[in-house]
Amino acid sequence: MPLDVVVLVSAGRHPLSGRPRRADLDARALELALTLPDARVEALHAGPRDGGEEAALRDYLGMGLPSLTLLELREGHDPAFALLRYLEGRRPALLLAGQRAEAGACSGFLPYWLAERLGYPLLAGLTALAGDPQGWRATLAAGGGRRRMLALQGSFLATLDEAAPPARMSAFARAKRGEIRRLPAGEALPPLEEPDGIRPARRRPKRLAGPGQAAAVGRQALVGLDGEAAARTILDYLAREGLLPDSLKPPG
Amino acid sequence: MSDRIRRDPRRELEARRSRRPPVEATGSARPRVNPRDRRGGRPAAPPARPAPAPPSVLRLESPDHYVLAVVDLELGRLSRNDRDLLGAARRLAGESAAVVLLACLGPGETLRDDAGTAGADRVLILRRPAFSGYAPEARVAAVLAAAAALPARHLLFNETPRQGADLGRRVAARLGEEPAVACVALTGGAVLCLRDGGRSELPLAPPRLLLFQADSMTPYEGPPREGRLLDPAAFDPREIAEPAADEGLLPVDSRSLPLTEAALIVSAGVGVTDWAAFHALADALGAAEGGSRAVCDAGHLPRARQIGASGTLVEPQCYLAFGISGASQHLHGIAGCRRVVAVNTDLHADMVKRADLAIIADAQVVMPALTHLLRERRRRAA
Repeated sequence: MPLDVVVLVSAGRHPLSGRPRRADLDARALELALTLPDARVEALHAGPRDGGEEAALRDYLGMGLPSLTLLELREGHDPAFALLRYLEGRRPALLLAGQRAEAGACSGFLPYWLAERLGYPLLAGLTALAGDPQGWRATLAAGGGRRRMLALQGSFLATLDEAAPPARMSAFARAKRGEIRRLPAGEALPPLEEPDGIRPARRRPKRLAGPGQAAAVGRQALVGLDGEAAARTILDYLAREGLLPDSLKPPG
Repeated sequence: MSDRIRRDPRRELEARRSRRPPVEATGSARPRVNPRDRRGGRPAAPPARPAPAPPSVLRLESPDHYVLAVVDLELGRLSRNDRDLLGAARRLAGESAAVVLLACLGPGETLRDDAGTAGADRVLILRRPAFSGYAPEARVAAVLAAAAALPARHLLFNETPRQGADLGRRVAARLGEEPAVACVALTGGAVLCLRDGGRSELPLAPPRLLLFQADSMTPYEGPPREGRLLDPAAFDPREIAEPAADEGLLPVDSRSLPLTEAALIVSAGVGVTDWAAFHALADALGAAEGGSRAVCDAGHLPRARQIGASGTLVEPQCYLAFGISGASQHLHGIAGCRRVVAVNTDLHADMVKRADLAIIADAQVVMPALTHLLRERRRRAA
């Protein structure tokens, strides 16, 4: 039985030029989906009918996807609710998304909101996935470049960030050939509330980390130690600061 | 030329001064003599002022409402972001509300910093064995229990990946409340949030949940607050089963870690000649290798390992510098390091000034000794 996977994709924007193109994190999500064995992958987007997002969406088709589903929204409707309604009917085994969008509010809140409404557990920072709905083995990115292994069953939603493997390139001919399946998003959707007061961001200087941020006290320079004493001093200092794994702490 | 009368203005000034006691510009009738102007003898020392009394602790007995700040903590200490968050919480709370610091600690972990000086009126520490690992549901339950029991009008989180940013959004989704994300400022009763990948900003009335961008707010610098410890028994979160079982961290080859993500870095400068010892030390410590510009230019380390202004900016927990003099560009690269240990033969090197612990010795002697000690301890632990 093929695995039913839905990947939420959005229209991305190049960070410098602003040119519409596939969103980097969504593309990584699609990449991970395409590498799953025996998976039926559907890319899903909700947007206005002539929103001009087609060019960006076709980049996803160029990754080898035969078709992409576009939920066509009426003017002023909230895409989040359109996605929710569609997914409630669909209930895929696996739901993947980039951690945040590249245009619009970019809050990264949508996957959490969807997971809560659908009742799906959410995994943040997925980098690799193996197994099947009876037993998944998911690798998540933990802080400091480390990886954590999780075991779970059933359907879940996962978000991917920059730690996930990069996406394959998009082929232009495939992108042109691919089909965009347009579905009406449905009636009676809540309206999208565009907040007013949005203005261009003022450049704010970032606070630089000063040296010795936590405390300038306790700096010491030790002279005249031999190799072994120096080594012991350094290791004791690291242990005191809590920087050594337990196995290397001084005995006693 | 020689018959010209030479005048020494300085001598004339001093003569004038010695004749007439200087009068202060305040115009008081009484001539006041500055003891420092006395000719000869040392100027009188200014009268010793009593040492300023330590600022008294500010106590807030009946707060209007509570603002809950959920901190990330870095090995039991308040991180830079945590202090900024407490500063933001203080600004949001004003004078009438209490800032509550919430820390979720696993067994064996302790809060090692004084939360009161950082601006917290109350401190709530919730302990569960699960908190030492991956337990998002348990953390959400803890935050919800604290928010409900206080009750908290606002909940604040850091926008730190996999920590506050994740937890804050989970709590917001559970509560069904849209959070204000990427907050960068609190001005005039409104919170300023970034949108559109940082291109636009939007002022909002502060909602219940706020997530603050790193390096945006300033830490609390007022008189120390009480930091009273709250009884955790009053905040018992319901036990919720985690959907995903944590199988632990995977062993990662720290040598192949990107420098920007490494928690421990050993770095070599021109003072290192025994490269075999350097690589052995990095291996024994499980640390990433880095180097100054000079050693990368000389080809001892690949360019990707260069640390500095034109190389990589690193923020490890600890940075061990061997034989690095500390050129300003290199120091710029390690500005974000929490702790720096330097081994150098030169006592007056800039790196020694920057370091929290400096050993004045030859790196070629210390490196093998350190490796040997590490291997011995590892063997004893095994």
